[in-house]
Amino acid sequence: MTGSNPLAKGVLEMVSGIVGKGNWSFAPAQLLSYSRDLWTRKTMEMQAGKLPAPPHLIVWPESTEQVQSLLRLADQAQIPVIPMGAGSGVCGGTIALRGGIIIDLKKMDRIRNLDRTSMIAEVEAGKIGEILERELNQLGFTLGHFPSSIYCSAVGGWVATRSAGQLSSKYGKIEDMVVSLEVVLPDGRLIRTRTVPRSATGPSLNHIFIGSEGTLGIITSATLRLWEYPKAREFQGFRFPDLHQGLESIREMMQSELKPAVIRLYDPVDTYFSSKGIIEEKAKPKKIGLFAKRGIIHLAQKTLPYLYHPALPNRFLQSRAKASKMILIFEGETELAALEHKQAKEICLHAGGIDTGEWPARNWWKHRYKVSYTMSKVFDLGFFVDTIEVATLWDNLENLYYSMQEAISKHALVMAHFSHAYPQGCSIYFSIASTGRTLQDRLARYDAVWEDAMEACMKAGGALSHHHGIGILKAKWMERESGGAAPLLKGLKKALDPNGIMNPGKLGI
Amino acid sequence: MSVDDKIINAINLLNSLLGKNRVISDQTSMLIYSRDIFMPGYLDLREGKIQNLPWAACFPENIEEVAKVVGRAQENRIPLIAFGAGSGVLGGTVPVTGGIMVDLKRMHQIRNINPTNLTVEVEAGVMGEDLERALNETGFTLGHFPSSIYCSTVGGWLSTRSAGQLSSKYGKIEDLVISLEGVLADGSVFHTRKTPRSATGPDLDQILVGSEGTLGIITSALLAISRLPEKKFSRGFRFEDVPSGMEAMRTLTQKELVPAALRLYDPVDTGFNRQKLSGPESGCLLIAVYQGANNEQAELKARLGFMRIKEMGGKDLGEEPGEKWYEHRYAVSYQQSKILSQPNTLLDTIEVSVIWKDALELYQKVIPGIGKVGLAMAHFSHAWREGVCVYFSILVSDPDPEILRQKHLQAWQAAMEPCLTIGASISHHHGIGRFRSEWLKKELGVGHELLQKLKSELDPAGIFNPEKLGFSAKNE
Ligand SMILES: Cc1cc2nc3c(=O)[nH]c(=O)nc-3n(C[C@H](O)[C@H](O)[C@H](O)COP(=O)(O)OP(=O)(O)OC[C@H]3O[C@@H](n4cnc5c(N)ncnc54)[C@H](O)[C@@H]3O)c2cc1C
Ligand SMILES: Cc1cc2nc3c(=O)[nH]c(=O)nc-3n(C[C@H](O)[C@H](O)[C@H](O)COP(=O)(O)OP(=O)(O)OC[C@H]3O[C@@H](n4cnc5c(N)ncnc54)[C@H](O)[C@@H]3O)c2cc1C
Repeated sequence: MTGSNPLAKGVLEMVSGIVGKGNWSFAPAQLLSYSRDLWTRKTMEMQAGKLPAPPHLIVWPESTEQVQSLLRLADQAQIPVIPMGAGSGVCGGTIALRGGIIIDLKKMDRIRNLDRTSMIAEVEAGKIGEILERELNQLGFTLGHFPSSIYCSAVGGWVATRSAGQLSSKYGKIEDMVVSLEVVLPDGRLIRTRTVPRSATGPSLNHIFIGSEGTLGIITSATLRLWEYPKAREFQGFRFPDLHQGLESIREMMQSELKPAVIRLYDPVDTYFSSKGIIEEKAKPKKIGLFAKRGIIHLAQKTLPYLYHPALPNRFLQSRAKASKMILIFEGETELAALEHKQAKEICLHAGGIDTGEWPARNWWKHRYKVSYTMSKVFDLGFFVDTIEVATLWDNLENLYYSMQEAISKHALVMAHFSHAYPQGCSIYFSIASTGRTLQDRLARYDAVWEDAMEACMKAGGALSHHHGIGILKAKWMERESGGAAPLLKGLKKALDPNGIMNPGKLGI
Repeated sequence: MSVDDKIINAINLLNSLLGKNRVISDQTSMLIYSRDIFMPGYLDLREGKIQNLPWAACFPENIEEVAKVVGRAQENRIPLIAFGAGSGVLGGTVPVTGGIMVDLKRMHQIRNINPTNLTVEVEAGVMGEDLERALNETGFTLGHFPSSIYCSTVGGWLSTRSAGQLSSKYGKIEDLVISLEGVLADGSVFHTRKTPRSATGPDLDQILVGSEGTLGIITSALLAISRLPEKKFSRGFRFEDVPSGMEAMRTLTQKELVPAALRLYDPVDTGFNRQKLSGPESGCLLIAVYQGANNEQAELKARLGFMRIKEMGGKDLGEEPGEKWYEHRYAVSYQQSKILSQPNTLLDTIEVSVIWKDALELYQKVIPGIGKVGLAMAHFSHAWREGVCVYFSILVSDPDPEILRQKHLQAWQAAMEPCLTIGASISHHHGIGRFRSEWLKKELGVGHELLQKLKSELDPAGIFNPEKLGFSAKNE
C-alpha cells in the first residue's frame, strides 16, 4: 500500500509510530482536497481540470510532542512540511509546492487554560474560530476576533497570517491579541514565549512567528487576551454625499480616540450595488452586499455581458455613483459605548453625513458571516471574483485608492470598502469580478488584475496586504515591500530553518 | 595589529569618512563614553577605576554617513556602539571590547509633524524633551514620558523598549512605532513600510525594536502621536494594603477604565513619598490621572473610574496627590545623586513584568529577598489588561566597596530568580544591556539561541555592540 507513495516507507512507518494509525493518510481523495486553499486562481485552475500540487501525506497530530517528533523526522529526512489550520487562506499559503507533509492541526483544539484574573486564554492552534468564540461567550468572555471566515479558519492560521476581524477597530488585529506563543521549531525544539503583558528583553520573539505563514515553525498554541462579553451594543448608519467626507469622518473618529467596534464605509460603487442597484437591501435583506452569496451570482449574471470589457461599466459606475454608505457599531461598557455613539454621530453629521438610523448596521450585523462559501457557482458561470486588501497612512489613502481602482478597472469590475481603521491610517478592501471567453483568457485577466493592482500599490506606497498575507500570490513583491529589511527576514529563515523544510516557496523567502 | 595601531587606524578611517571635526578621541570624552548610568559603574568611578574606554566617538549627520561608517567598520572588524544619550541603566553602551561610539545626537531633526496622519518623523538622536516640546507647540503629544525624558533619545527608547509614565494610555514605545529607518551590519540601509498595519510576514520593526544596538543602528522612526489633551482629572486614594489596591488597578484595566497614569505604591514606597505627594499616613497610595484628546470621554472615564475605586475600598484623598505626582513626575530620578554621592550606598531600580494572577506572589517573594541585603520598596506602574509592571527600588549600603557590589548583585538575584521561576519577565522597560545577560538567556531559553543565530547571520563578525543581550563576542 505504501508503495504508491513517494515518501520512503521508513518515513511512513515512523510517522505512524508518532501519531498513531488513524492520524495520517495519503488516500488520493484526501491528497486532492488538501492540494489547495481558497486562492481564487487555484479554484479557476481546478475548473479546467488542472490539479494543483498535492502533498504526499497528511498528518493530524494530537499534541505538541507529536508535532515535535514529526518535525525532527522531517528535518532529518529533509521533507517539506506545510502547517495547516483550516485551509481558508486566500493566497496559496498551504499549497504543497514541492510535495511533502501537510501537518493539519485541527485535532489540537483545546482551550488549555483560561485565566480569569489576567483575562487570557491559552488556545491550541487547531481550534476553529467560531467554536472558540462560542465557548468563550459561555464563560462570559469574547476574543473580539471575527474574520468573515470565522467558521472555517483556525487560531494558528490567524496568527500565521496576521488576520483581522470585523471588529478590529476596537479589539485590534490578531497580533494585538497575542500575549505569548508555543512554537515548534523546524528542528523539533520548542519555544514557549513568556506569558507577560510587556517586556524589554530584546527583539520580540512573538513577532518572529506572527505573520510567518508557516515558514519558520509550527505554532501549537497561542495565549490570547480576552474581553468581557460586551454589556451594550449600539447601531448606527450614515450616508455621505461623497467618499471623501466619509473617510474624513472615520479619521476624525479614530483620532479623537473613539473606538467603534465596527466601522465600514462602502465606496460609491459598492454602495450603489448594495443599496439601490442590483441588490435591494430592504426588500431582500438576506442579500445585502455584493458578497452575499446570492448577490454575487445575481450580479454576475446581470453584468456578464459587460464584464468582457470591464473598463466601460467601471467608468459608468464610477461617474454615476457618488454616495457612500457607512455602518457603525459601538459596544462594551454601557455608558462608554453610549458616549462614543453620541460623539460619532456629531462627527458624521458635522462632516455632511445623513443619519440613516439603526437599520443598515443592524442588518449588516445579522448577516455578517453570510459570505460565500459556495463561490464555486460563480466560477461555474464563467466568472471569477477576488479581494485585494491593502493599507496606508491617511494622507495617502485616497491616492492609493484611486491609483489601484484605475489599475484594476481595465481588467475587472471593482468596488471597495474601508473596514479597518486606525488613528494613523486605514485599509482598503477591493472586491473584483471579471470574466473572459476562455479559461486561458480568464487566467490571463486574473493575473493582470493582480500584477497591475500590486504595481499600483507599490508605486503609491501602500502595504501589499493588510490581513490576508502573502502566500504565493504576493511573494514576488515582498522584496520591494521590505524596503531593504529583507536580510532580517532571510536571516531569520536561515537561523531557524537551515534545511528549508518549512513551507517552501512562500512569503518570498 | 597592536591595539594602538587598531585605534589609530580606526581614527584615520573615521577622519576620512566624516572629517576631523566630527571625530573625537580625547581621554576625557572617552572616559565619559566608558559608562552609562548602570549603578555599579558609580562605584568604579568613585574608586577611580578607568576601564572600557572606546577608541573614538563619531557624529554622523545622516543615514548615508552611518552606512559608510558601518560598511568600513565591517571591513575592518571594528566594534561599533550606537549611542543615544547614555541614560541606559544596564551597561548597554559600555564599549567592553573597545571600538567606536556612533553618537547619534547630530541626527536631531524633527522632520515632519503630520497632523493628518497623527505621526511624527524623527531622527534617532532627538532628545525626548525636545521632541515633546515641539509636538506640544503644534497641539500634539507623543505620550511617551520616561522619567529620563530630559536625558534620553528616540533611538535609545526604541532600542531598549522604553516605557513612559502614561503608558497605560499611550502604550510603550514599541506600540508607537509605525516604521523605522536604519543601517544593518553589512552597511545596507532599510526603510520599513509606512503603514498603520500589514500582513506581510513577520513585523521586522518589532525585531529591531529592543535589539539594543546589536542588530542595526536606527537612524529615524515614524512614530504615532496624539492630540494634546486639554484637561486632566487627578485623584489620590488610600488602600489598606497591596492586594486590595492591586485588585482595584486590575479592575480598571479590564473594565475599559484605565487612566493615563495609574500607580500603586506599597506601604514603604508610600511612606517614602508621603510628604512629596500628600500621601496617607499608612497603607498604600494609589494615583489615578485621566486625560485624553477626547475630553468628554476622559471625564466620563474619570467619573466612572473614581467611583469604581471607591467601591473597591479606596479612600478618596482628593486631587492633591495626583496633581503633585504630575508636577514632580520627573523629579524623583534626579534626586538620586544626593544618595549616590554618599560613599557607602548604592541605589537601583528593578522593573519586571507579570500577569495579574502572579503579581502578588512575585511581589511577596521579591521584597523579603531583597530585604535580606538592603532596603526594598515597590510601586506598581504601567498597568495593562493582563498584568502589570512591578518597579522595585533598592538601597544597599556597606563601607567595603566589594561587599557593596556583592550586596547589589544579591539584591538583583533576589528579584530576578523569582521572575524566572514564576514565569514573569525579568525586564519591563529598562532592557538587558550587559548586566542582565545571563538572566535573559534563562528567560528566553531556546529563544535566545534563536536570536544568537539571527545575530550571527546578520553580523557574523559581531561588530555591533559586542557582548550585549547575552550575545557572545565574535570579533577578533
Ligand atoms: C470566505 C472567506 C472570508 C475571509 N475573511 C477573512 C477576514 O475577515 N479576515 C481575515 O483576516 N481573513 C479572512 N479570510 C482569509 C483566511 O480566513 C485567513 O487568512 C485565516 O487567517 C486563515 O486561517 P486558516 O486556519 O484557514 O489558515 P490556513 O489557510 O490553513 O493557513 C494559512 C497560512 O498559515 C499557515 N499556518 C496555518 N496554521 C499554522 C500554524 N499552526 N503554525 C504555523 N503556520 C500555520 C499556513 O501554512 C499558511 O501559510 C477569509 C477567507 C475566506 C475564504
Ligand atoms: C533618571 C533616569 C530615569 C529613567 N526613567 C526611565 C523611564 O521612566 N522609562 C524607561 O523606559 N527608561 C528609563 N530610564 C532608562 C533609560 O533612560 C532608557 O533606557 C532610555 O531608553 C535610554 O535612552 P538613551 O538615548 O539614553 O540610550 P543609550 O543609553 O544611549 O543606549 C541604550 C541602548 O540602546 C542602544 N542605542 C541607542 N541609540 C540607538 C540607535 N539609534 N540605534 C540602535 N541602538 C541604539 C545602545 O547601544 C544601548 O544598547 C531612566 C534612566 C535614568 C537615568
